[in-house]
Formats: sequence, C-alpha cells, structure tokens
Amino acid sequence: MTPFDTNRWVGVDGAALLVGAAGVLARRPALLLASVVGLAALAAARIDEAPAPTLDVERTLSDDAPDPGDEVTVTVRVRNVGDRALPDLRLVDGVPPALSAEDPARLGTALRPGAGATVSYRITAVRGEHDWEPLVAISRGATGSRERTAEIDADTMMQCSPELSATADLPLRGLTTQFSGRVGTDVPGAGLEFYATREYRRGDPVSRIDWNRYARTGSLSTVQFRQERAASVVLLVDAREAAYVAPEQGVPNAVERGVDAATGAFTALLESGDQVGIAALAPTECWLPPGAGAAHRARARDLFATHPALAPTPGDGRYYASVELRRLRNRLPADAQVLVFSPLVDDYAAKVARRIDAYGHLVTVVSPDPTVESTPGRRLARIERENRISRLRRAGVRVIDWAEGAIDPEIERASARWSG
Amino acid sequence: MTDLTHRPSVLSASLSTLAASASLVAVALADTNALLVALPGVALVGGGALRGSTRLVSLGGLALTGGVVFAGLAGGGPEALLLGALGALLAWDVAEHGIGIGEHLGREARTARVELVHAAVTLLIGAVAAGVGYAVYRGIAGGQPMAALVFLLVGVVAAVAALRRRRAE
Repeated sequence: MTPFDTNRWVGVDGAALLVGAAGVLARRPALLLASVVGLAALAAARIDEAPAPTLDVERTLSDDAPDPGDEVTVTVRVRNVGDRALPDLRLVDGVPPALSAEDPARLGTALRPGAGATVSYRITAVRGEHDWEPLVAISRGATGSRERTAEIDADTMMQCSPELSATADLPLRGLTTQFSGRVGTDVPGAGLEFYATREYRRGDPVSRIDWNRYARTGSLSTVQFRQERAASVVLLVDAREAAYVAPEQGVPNAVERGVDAATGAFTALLESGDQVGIAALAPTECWLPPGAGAAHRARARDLFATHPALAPTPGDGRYYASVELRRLRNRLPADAQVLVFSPLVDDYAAKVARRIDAYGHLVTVVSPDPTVESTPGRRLARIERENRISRLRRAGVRVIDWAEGAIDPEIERASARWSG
Repeated sequence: MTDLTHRPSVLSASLSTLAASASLVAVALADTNALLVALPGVALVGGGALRGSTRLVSLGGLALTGGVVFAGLAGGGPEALLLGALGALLAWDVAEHGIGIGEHLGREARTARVELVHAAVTLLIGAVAAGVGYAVYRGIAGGQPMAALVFLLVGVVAAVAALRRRRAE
C-alpha cells in the first residue's frame, strides 16, 4: 500500500510560531531560540518517510491437529529482510475468526535490517479447519508522520477434529428398520423385555416355556418378549446464518453446540447398532446417508471436523429454503427418524421439523437455548422461542430444550417424561 | 480471551509525564507565573496519555508551551527555555505516540521496544536542535540583536511555511 500522512504533527507548527512570535514581539531572543526545538522536529517529520516493511514471517503451531479444547501455542517469527531499518513497526497477526487468542496476537517493535522479533500466543482449539489470515504490518517513520500498511502471507492451517465420544442414549421413537437393535417395538419375538404369553406351539424352545404356569394349571404356554429393532436416524443440524447465535461473546454459538450434541448422538447411536446419517440446513450442501461401520464412522468424524456447512462461523452463500427442504425430503430414507439440532430462533426451523414429521419421519428436536433476558427485546425472543417449542410439542414433535451445560442431564429428564 | 482494549500503554504515559515534569521544573526556575501555566499542562498530558485522549494531550502540550512563553516573557535564560521547550515537545510526542500504539495494539501487547525507540529518536532530534541553536545563540550573543532578530523571524516564518506545505503526491 502507498504511504499516507498521519497528520499527527499538524498544530505543532502553530505552537512553534507562537513561541517565536512572542519572542519577536517581546524582544526576547531566548524565546525565539526556543522555537528551534519545535521547528527541528517539524523538519524531521517533513523529510521522514515510512519504510516499506519487507518482512519474512514464519508461523509455527505447537500442534497442528489438536483435539477440541486443547491449548495450542502459536509462535510468529518476524525478520526484517529489507535493507532499511523499521523504526516503528506494529504487527497484528491474522488469527482465524473462529479461534480466540488468550494473549494478544500483536506486537510493537523496531527492527534493524536483519533483526528479528517473536510474538507467541495461546489459542484454544475449536472444531474445524482453520486458515490463518495474513499478518498485518503497519510501518511508520521514526517521527510517525507517515504510515503504510502491508499484509504478509504465511500459510498456516490447523485441523481440529472432534473426538467421537458418546452422549447418553438418545431416546428414539418407534420407527425402526428390519435390523435388530435397541428400540423396543410392539412386535412379539426375541428380546429382553417381557411382552406376553401365548399357547405353546410345537417347536418352541424349552427355555421359553412358562414352567410356573405349567405347575399351576398343567397347560404349556410360551413367554414372548418385546422385539427390539435398530432405527435409522438422520441428524439434521440447523446451520443457517440465523442459527449462529450465542448468549454472549466468547460462548459457543448454537450451531457449535448443536454439532457437539450431534457428534455425541452419532457415536451413541452407532454404538447401539442404529444406522446414522448426517444432514445440515446450510447454504453449503452437506449429506451423509445413514450407514454403519468403521468407515462410516471415520467419514462422519471427518465431516464433523471439516465440512464448511458445519464450521463454527457462518459461511457465505444464500440458503434456498424451499429447494433445500424438498431435496432433504427426497433424500430421507422412508424408515428414517430425524433428530433436528436447532436453536429454534426463527419459525423456519420449527416449520422444517413439523413438515418432516408430517411426511412420516418421526422427529425429535434438540434445541440449544441461546436466549438471555438482559433486555426487553431479548426477553421477547426468549418468549417467542418458548412458544415455538410448545407449539411443536402440541403437534406431537418431541423437543429437548437444552439450556446450558452438558446435554446428558437434559436427555435423562426428557426421557423420563416421554413414554415409548 | 482478550479483546483489543485500545487503551494506551502505561510506559509512554509515564515517560511523557516525566518529560512534562522536566519542562515544568525548567520553566518554574525561570518564572513562578510560568509554573501556574505549566502545572495544568503536566496534569493534562499525564491524564490524557493514560485515558487515551488526544485532545487532552494536545491541550497539555499547549499549556506546557504556554509555560515556556511565560518564562521567556519574564526574562528566562536560553538554557531554561530550551529545556522547557524540549520537555514540552517530548511530552506531547511520546503521549500521542503511546495513544496511537494503544489504538493499534492495545495495552496488553508487548510494545516497549517501539515506544522507547520513538522516544529516543524524538529526544535526539530535539536535543541536537537545541544544542546547535544554543551554540549559534552564544556565538552571536552581544552582536546586533535587532537585525539578527528580524532575519531570524523571516527565517522562522519561511521555514514554517515550507514545512506546512503538503507533499505533492
């Protein structure tokens, strides 16, 4: 960038003239002499020029693939590779927007040709793929009368994949696949929970015969259990721009909490034998069809970590509400249940949940609560959200209202309330 | 988590208060009335530098300059006036620079090096100018004060006019 005037010496000429003029009018040569100091500084400022910062920037991370929540130390080494001294150099590092630095990622220094400086700061890793932006260098001359800015690239990338750790078992609803699993059905067969007894038929296993009853009445009968089946579940994360809401600065936003919860749910469901898929309401397309197995798990981990639709900061692009909804509907397998992760801060998410429910997919909404009560407007937003939740519940959609903290207690509380 | 606070650095504020105090002492030795003008200047520069107010710092610099003028009108010696002017310049310059650093980088960042280099450069420029000026003054002292004064005046006005003109760019 071309240098420009900082205008910081404007007015000093007036003060110098004032001193000189007072000396002339009062015939005090010493006073006229004193104005020399100001004039000399002005002259220096006049000939001073901001040197172009020709810097060699090297950025190193203590860990370029950390786990979420890990502390990573970033060290930036800067060296003046030009042949002019940089007497006034201000450096601001381009920390990725989703990360927040614990220490200032900024440095003020002066560098002789060949000299170097180091700034290091700690960041707390959050899920996602993070690209560092260029370092901004502001260079001024020694008197600060001229300034120029330069951006210096040093490609650095950090990839932070979440550990797939399971949350409490999410209560699923009675829509199942033909595979055996843990969702209780109303079909008698092999299982754990007592369902009914029926008359003995030839060929029934001896262990299933109700011997107590035989002793009492003399007739043979067979015990039947509730058959348990696996479900097919699609985790639908609301990652539209409207969903990027947080109660305050520095707190994970609703999308991050939703993705965290979805990650936990994914593992829990996969471990209990259900087939799990991932989808997002986002400008960028995101779809992983329901599946099982180690390869599916690895694909999901990668998707949770790096998919742009699930990034911790909103992406670019427009979201075409009705098109996306239709596409999602066409993709959903007929026997799939849907777990929606949405803060429910606008009517659209609630509409999606009800629409999918109406298409015959049983829907459970997990809703991280981003609302606060500090101003009347925020209180209104909270009430609107509560109304949306109760409307959804009236329509037969299950909602877990997740205030803050861990999700497991909320799931426990919700499952205690629901039946079957 | 640290957000950029835009608060000015403490080091610059302390250095500028020190320079302002030096200016105050120099003019106070020449004239007690000058003390009354320069004293609020010290408070304004110091307070402005800590609070990050360029306006207060400029007012303080002006008050310190006023102190120099009063001391000169009361017949202060060239040594005291030069020292007073140098202190005033340094106080204003360092305080303003510290505020700018604070706006760019915040108080928490490591900025001591750039602040010290800037203060040293300004001190050097001012001291050299004062030294040369003082030597010339001593050299021509006792000559034709009025004629020298007129030429000096013309020189000062021409110099200021030249310095005021913006770069053609």
